[in-house]
Amino acid sequence: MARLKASYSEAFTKKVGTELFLLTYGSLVAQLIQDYEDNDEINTQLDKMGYNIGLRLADDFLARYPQTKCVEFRETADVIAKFGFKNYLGFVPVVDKWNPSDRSCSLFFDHNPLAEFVELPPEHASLWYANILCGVLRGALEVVHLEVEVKFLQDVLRGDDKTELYIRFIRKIEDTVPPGED
Amino acid sequence: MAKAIQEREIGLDLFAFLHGEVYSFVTRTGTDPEQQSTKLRAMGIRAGQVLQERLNLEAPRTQDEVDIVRFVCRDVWTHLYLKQIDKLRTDNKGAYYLIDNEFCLIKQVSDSMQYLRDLPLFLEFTCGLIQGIFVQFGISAIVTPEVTHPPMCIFKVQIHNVK
Repeated sequence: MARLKASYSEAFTKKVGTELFLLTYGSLVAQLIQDYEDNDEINTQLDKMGYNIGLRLADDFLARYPQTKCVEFRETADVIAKFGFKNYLGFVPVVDKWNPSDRSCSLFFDHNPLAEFVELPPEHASLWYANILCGVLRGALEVVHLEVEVKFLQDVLRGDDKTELYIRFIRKIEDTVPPGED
Repeated sequence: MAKAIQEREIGLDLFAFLHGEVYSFVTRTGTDPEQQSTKLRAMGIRAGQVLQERLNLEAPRTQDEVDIVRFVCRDVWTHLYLKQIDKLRTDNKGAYYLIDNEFCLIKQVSDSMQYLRDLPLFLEFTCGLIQGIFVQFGISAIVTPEVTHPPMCIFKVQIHNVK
């Protein structure tokens, strides 16, 4: 972790304005609402796109930091919050609500991480606006051989006090390298 | 809270991947290239209009088209891409050329020539975004990209009329 911290800031210096990102995302969600009326379908589409992004983000991350190794899921969650969110989205969520076996936790945000002055239309009140993040985490963790379940449990856009993103470790994906190859 | 968001910055990779997903979603689900480009542009316009509404307070209270173009090159571009447009040219007949020497999204794809063919479609969203900002200023413009030496990109803003 120490080495990771030292070199991290240099490689992640290329940035764009937050609003460019949030407005692009807002425009995408608005388009999905137009294309698919069903909220579940919109959530699914966002999750799928996030998954593709997650695969690429993790590849990118590992190419820069091949030495990143987490032994426990607690460490993984820590890297997600303190490095992933911090460097890509510019803030650190609170990791909390660990279950007794340390296999699941929640990330807490006091706002919706992808929304600014967004109001969900009443007919889309059951949409998880930032659902793309579930896919991003699922995809990124799959690259490091972790199968996880990720879902939103609360969202300030729905009138909740906080936004809560739940992550559950399912299993470690074993390498399936055919015999004779390495 | 709005202030906190202004101060935050987003990793370019993340933005480029998101933009890539927007692009591939539209090209995957669209029927033909024309419909795809219309849709991408419309999405960009929508984002540009929202952005301009948000920036309105800081914007120059001017009807002068040149001042508005300058405002976009300097303030809006910095707000979006954290840098100003590198060069601005005009033909004095209503066309402005906004030259970005290293446009971030092009830098992220590839320098190879095979991408050049798809670049106009790839840049539809960005062109729409710029167009949307001008629309909100009451300026009807068509924005088109010219990429001959990537990652340099020239956004040509053809102004039709000032309402």
